[in-house]
Amino acid sequence: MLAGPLFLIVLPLTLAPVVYLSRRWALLAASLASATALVMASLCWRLPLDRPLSVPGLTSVLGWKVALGEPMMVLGREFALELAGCSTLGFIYLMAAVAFLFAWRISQGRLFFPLGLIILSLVGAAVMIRHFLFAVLFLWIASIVAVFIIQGDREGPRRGALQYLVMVSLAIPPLLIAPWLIDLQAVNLDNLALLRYATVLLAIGFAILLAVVPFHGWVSAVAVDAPPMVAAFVLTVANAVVLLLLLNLLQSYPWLSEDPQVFHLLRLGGLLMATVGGLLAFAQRDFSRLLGYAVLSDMGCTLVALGTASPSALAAALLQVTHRSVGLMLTAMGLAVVRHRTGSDSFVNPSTGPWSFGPGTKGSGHRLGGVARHLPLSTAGLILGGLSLAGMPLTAGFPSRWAIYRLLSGYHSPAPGLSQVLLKPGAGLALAMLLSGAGVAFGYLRGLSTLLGPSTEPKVKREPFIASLMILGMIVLCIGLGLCPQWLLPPIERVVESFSFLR
Amino acid sequence: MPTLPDVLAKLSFLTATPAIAGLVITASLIVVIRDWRFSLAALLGQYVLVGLLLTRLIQPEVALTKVLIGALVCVVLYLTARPVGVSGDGVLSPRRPEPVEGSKEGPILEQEAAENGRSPLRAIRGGASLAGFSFRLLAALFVGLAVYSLSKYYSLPKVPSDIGFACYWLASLGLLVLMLTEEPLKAGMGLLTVITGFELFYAALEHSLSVAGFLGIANFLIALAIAYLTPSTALRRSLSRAEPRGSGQGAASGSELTAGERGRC
Repeated sequence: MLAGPLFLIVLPLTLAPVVYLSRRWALLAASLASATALVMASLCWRLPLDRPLSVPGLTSVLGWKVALGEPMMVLGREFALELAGCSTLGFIYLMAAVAFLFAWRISQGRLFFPLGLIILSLVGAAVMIRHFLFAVLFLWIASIVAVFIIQGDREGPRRGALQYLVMVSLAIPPLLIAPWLIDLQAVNLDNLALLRYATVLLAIGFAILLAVVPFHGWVSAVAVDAPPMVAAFVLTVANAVVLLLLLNLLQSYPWLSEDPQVFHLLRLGGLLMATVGGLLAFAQRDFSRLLGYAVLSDMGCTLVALGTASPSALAAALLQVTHRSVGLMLTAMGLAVVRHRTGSDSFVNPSTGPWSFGPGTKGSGHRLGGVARHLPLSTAGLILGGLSLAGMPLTAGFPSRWAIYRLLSGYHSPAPGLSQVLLKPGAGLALAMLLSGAGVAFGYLRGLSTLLGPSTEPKVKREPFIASLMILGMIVLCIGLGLCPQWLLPPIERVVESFSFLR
Repeated sequence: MPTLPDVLAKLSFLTATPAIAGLVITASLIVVIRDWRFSLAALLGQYVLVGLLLTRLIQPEVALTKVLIGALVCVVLYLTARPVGVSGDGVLSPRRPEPVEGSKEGPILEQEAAENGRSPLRAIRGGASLAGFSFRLLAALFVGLAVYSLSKYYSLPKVPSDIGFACYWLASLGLLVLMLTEEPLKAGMGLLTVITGFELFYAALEHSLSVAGFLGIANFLIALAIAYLTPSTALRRSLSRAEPRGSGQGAASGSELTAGERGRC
């Protein structure tokens, strides 16, 4: 019998060298990487956690059955897959499979496939290991590996990769010291100051990892400098795993989840992120940076929802994380094709300033004028994905945003002091989230006006067929999730039920 | 043949004030000196001195392993920086200052340089370098004062006060390096300095060998990541110097040029 954690960690790690050796054959490398991620996703979603089952191929060849929920001990540390981790990993693997497959037609760097698999293995370990300290260490190593794919094999600016490396590395020390303080308090029960210090350290560490303002610079830097699908992959994986670690921490330590200041901090951080993200998205000149700020705004909305500390808000937040990934992947796909075909993603003529609509003249600094006529599906994907990140109706991002707006409008903060003025009126919070989404939507619509405008670059090749098909599939998914969000609700509700700290 | 404990016993006089003083000097050198060779030598010295201090907190074998990992990190960085090419002042591929149209600065500097018998470019670079040196020195001094106060009033738990000071010093000066530079190699040294300061403190809190192993792996991977980022930057800059502005041809090169311009903004 094979323990599920071992399988999910070892399989991508074993296949990574094979994928690396086949990196010159993009189809082979992409297929291998994508198939591996798909197999792991289907295992996470289809196998029961409570009993071993046979897996086609594995059972017939080696005679092994896979017990997904079976714990595993390595060097005295326990790895175990629980419901929330299983759903998160299944979702991450599925998104990775899509990203790998898309990278076959529009190259995202040759290292993307093998290192992507290694990252999946490491984040799997981070999710499954029971000890928070080691989860943080696995996450750190995965993030360092991600630096290589953020940079890819391009000769370009290093700011995104370097900022990501620095910020993640700076987030780790507080997260490593906090468990020591918590353990120390367990033997000094009267010393509650230790828990306060631990809370502060955890807040700093998670604020950096979740890109809370003022630690948000790395998100836009990664979005600008990394290939679009890599940016989407890193932002999706990192955000999902960090949120899961946060929820597990709140579940493990009742003193943390019972402290209203923790949720107050979440709301405040989220509000800052949404405000800054929305405002800066409003003023952007290129789609890459716009993508970064759109993600920031959406992540802020998730944090605000989490900060209201109710099971329904948690369900809405998890739904938003899922929908964000769909929107993010879609807009990244569109951006990848546009960037590949035109060599640019700037949609505002620098000479006319950031507030102008329309494409400007030929040779005025951007090449996106009229691109929508040459790349219709990519343009549709780029804009629809962006509008989904903004939470516009008929897109995947809308149902979760709507649920969050409704929850916020009826919410009253118990936090004292200045926060009562700033954060108590839930309707005010909802309005801030709405305006933030409007800022992002305005940015994308401004980009669309350029893409639909007069042509400034007549020689744009047609979009690749396979990539277009994938974009079309994602567009259908994005609209489908916008119209029928209940598809995803049952698994999300099961995950919410597994977190008892909000009852 | 002397064993490791014998050697450490002979070096025990170094594990107190001399090691702390050495760390103050090495971290300051990384901040102040722009020449990558001196900075790298200072980083190596820093790892050795931290190893000596660690012998007071953890098993000597583990401390030795940390020194060896530090040495490996320095080897990786040295092998990365060496083939890239170094300018006269030892800075990795410095950006050439571009003349400002209509500015009187250029001719004046040219005149001054001619009077002094130096090329204009060297004059500009020399002036900027001197100003930069003074600024970094001043910044290091201010941070040093802050660290002194911080370690006095907020002493770190589980470590002697002198080691606590060293932890604060390394972490603060590492952060200062990160604030002062965007050069991957130099920023990497700053990041490694921050992590070294943290590890010196954390070694007293967590004695697990597996955690020490993870930290070693992370250090080495960071060095590899910095190595991966470093030569390409130099190449990009040398290319941008060689090519006139706007000469990028084709979609791909155009994309890189645009991205490069964005990154500098």
